[in-house]
Amino acid sequence: MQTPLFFLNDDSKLLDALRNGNDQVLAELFQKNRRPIISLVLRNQGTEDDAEDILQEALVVLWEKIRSGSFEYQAKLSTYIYATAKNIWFRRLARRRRELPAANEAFEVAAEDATPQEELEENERVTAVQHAMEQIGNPCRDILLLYYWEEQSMEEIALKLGFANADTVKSKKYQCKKILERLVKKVLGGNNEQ
Amino acid sequence: MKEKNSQHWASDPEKVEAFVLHRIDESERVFCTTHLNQCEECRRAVQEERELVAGIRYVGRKEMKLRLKQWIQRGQGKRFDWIQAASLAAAIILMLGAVFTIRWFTDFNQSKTRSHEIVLKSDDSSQRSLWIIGKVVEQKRVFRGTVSENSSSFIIKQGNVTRTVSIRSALTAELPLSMRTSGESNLQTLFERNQDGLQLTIYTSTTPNSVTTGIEAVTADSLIVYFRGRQIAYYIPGGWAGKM
Ligand SMILES: [Zn+2]
Repeated sequence: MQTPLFFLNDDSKLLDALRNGNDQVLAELFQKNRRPIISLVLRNQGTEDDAEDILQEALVVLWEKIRSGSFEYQAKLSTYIYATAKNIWFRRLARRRRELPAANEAFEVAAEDATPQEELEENERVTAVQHAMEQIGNPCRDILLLYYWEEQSMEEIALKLGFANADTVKSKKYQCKKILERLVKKVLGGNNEQ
Repeated sequence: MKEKNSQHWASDPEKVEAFVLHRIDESERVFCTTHLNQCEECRRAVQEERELVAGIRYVGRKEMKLRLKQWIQRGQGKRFDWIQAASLAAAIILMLGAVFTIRWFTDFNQSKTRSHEIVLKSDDSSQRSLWIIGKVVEQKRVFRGTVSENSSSFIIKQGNVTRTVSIRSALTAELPLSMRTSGESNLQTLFERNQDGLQLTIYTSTTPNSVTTGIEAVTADSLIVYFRGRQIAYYIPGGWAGKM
């Protein structure tokens, strides 16, 4: 076997672990990046709790990017995490100044969609979807999360959830989406009748 | 009327989904966007889909953040639950990409520490295999499960998914020096993905004529094998469903 051997740097080990589904590595990244984020937040009108909270959100953003394959490894991982956390923190500060309810800023950063995320966040229907997801139960909940959030393929979902094949998942997903839409309507209908 | 409908691309739910999930190519995207700028009806359909996806993703992120909090609280050196067989979340396979050598020194029911990690970079991208060091948990094991002589092939079922796991042995002498393990308690093993499942090659210092093997337990990220009177535990980094 004439294959070269070389050692991976720390970042690629962690990235590989995350790509392999070893999600608990995030806890390691949390410990590694905690100090600089705390000092950033303390310097900018926040507390240690704030710092830990936004770091967690930044790590979820990272995780999501890696999972969906949209993470491009350019800077050091710690640099990326710092930049993301900083971004989240300043959004949160801006929000506080506007006296808006603080929640999910990270998730604005995460989705660079055409629709402004702030618009989505305060959107009644998005909230209704969250409520509907609480009601829908499994396997629909899992299927919808794996497909729309983790962006896994039908094949991967079939394997993970023990369905016969991709086609089975596809039709199940279709049904689940319909059920979710019905539940959303119900939730919204309930709100409007107040 | 017909012509008009064909322009209302957002009346096709699959198209709307593909558009929102960024799964259409650039030229189509331009076409769709141009139409959206002029059509209130299609715009509404796209907006509703976006809201649906956004809501689902919020749920996922919240859950992930919660999980992360728990891992942080639990701290490092978590216990490794070998027998949590309830969640064989996926069947055996999906070992894609580069060839890995990962040495896990795992103490049964205790915390695990990774000593070092090397990558064997291969030009052959079709190669799908993983080296894992098995920890011999018990040297003289009496196994009462399904034991297979010579053929060493097992079917693992989870839900509707069925996989074959076959086990064979090879001589440690065949391995490059750097990959040989010392002592009787660590066994270098090659996990290879093939068409219908998984092939395990366990490297030992001697290979007898007949090999008695069995599968004792499979969890989401581990495999416990009965092999020539020994019980061997494997920790699968990232679990069976892990992508590489
Ligand atoms: Zn239209």
